[in-house]
Amino acid sequence: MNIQQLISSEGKTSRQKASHPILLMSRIRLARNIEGFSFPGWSDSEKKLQIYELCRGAIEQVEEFSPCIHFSIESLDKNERQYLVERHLISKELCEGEIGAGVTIDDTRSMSIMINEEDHLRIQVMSPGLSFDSIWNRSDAIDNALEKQLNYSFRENLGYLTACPTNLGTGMRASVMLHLPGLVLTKQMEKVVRAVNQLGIVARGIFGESSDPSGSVFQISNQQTLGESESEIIHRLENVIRTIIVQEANARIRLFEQDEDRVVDRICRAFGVLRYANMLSSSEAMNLLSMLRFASDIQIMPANVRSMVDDLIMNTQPSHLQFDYGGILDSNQRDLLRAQKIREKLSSIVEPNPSDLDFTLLKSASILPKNETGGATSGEPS
Amino acid sequence: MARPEQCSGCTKKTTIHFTQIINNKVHKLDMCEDCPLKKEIIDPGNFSLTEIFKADIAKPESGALTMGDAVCETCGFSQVEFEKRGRLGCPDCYTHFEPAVRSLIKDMHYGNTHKGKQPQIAVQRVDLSNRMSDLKKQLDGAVETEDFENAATIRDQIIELENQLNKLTEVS
Repeated sequence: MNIQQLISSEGKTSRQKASHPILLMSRIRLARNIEGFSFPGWSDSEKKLQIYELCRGAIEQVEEFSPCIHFSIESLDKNERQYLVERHLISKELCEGEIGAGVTIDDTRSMSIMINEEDHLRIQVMSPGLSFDSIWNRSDAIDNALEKQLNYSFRENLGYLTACPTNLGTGMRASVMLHLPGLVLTKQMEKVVRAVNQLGIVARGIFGESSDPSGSVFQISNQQTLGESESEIIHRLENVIRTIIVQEANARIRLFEQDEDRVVDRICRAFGVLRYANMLSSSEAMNLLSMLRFASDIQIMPANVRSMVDDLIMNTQPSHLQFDYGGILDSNQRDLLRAQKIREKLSSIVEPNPSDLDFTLLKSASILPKNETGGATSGEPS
Repeated sequence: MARPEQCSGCTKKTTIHFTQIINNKVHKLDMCEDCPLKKEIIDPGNFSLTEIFKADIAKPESGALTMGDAVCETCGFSQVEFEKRGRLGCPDCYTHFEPAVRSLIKDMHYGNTHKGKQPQIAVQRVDLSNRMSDLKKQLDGAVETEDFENAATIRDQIIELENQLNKLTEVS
């Protein structure tokens, strides 16, 4: 399978679950290194290729991942690399990788294993909604299978050794992507970021480190990896996420109580611009589409708008547009095509209707059932 | 005062000049636009390794090492390089820079001992290596006291352990 086929085959799991008003996606990433080799940042090309071959061999032998697609980063052009970044399948760092950088992706596009990123291996499993229990089990199983083939670098006291000491111990980063327009519009986000920091949790923009939180989408993840088991880390993160979700629902309700006219005005203006604009930049589109998602959550717009917005946010990113067009576009051309795609999609959607305002669904969605999550069941070897 | 032209993190030209005042002390950093240092500063949730280094590790009491002295025997990575990149060279750097790493971990993590998952093969390997170094010490002791009978037994145990260790490392 090549990247063109990957693009045309719609990810199976990404559409399975009904979308949630606040929770977009959860993800677990494990960092692993091989004993006896320098970390990728301090390895020469020859060693990186050795690591690459070792990891490739191990991954190929692990049946759980099949069917999979594998790419060496060198073999991909700039746009193809960018596409994988936009899909959260590889990191920006891997994207800039040279010799020995590679990625294996499963056919559901919910699992990827990066080779020679910051660490020799980065195993990543994603899922819509909040489902740490199942994605931990899957990451754990992949990790166990790879461990049988590879001699992992591990010390009893420090755990899994990683290139950066910030990932030591479990080497695990668990994260969720949350849509938080209520907290952003009520200007509480800064307070939330500070509060979660106190609890060892980080809130960042959608593409991780130092990225811009456009479209009010934030990534919330554990900062610490050493001193707690995987299940304890996940449990702590989940508690924070539950609180943020309730706070977000409350903020949206308060926003209407305080100044309904102005919020409705923002939603209608967002619809107007998206419905008729001739050019839209990526961040303008994100911010306006975020308002329509919000409108759909509180029933001012139809329920199907939410998943339509999610598709548009994904499909109007630069490299997605270029693949759709079949060639490279400059930034103006992309803005034109982006606006055109959004206009077409919205032409069949009825305009926002404030008299349909109803918080019932939002309120019930903001209380997450306990059994939906549960975290990693065990941090011990099985 | 003239600003440095070269980035504190690499050799590129400086474009960002960052000043931070913590407890009435001025910390200055000059960096290029692409440098990882920038990420740490723009992203306030992240740990600034540079600051942690400057605050803790430079203190003589936090270890016998002073910055720049230590070099990893396995991979040649220096502690200065660690300070610049915030990343280590190889797994053995954790042993060679232990005082510095310990000091970093204290501020960075929830605890200083791993409590999570353990890879079974690696655990066996660590266990065998520990037993191996114990046996080697015993062997030295036996040779010193001229207890050759005991030394021969220990030597056989070492050979047996070596075989087991080799089997484990063959995996990779």
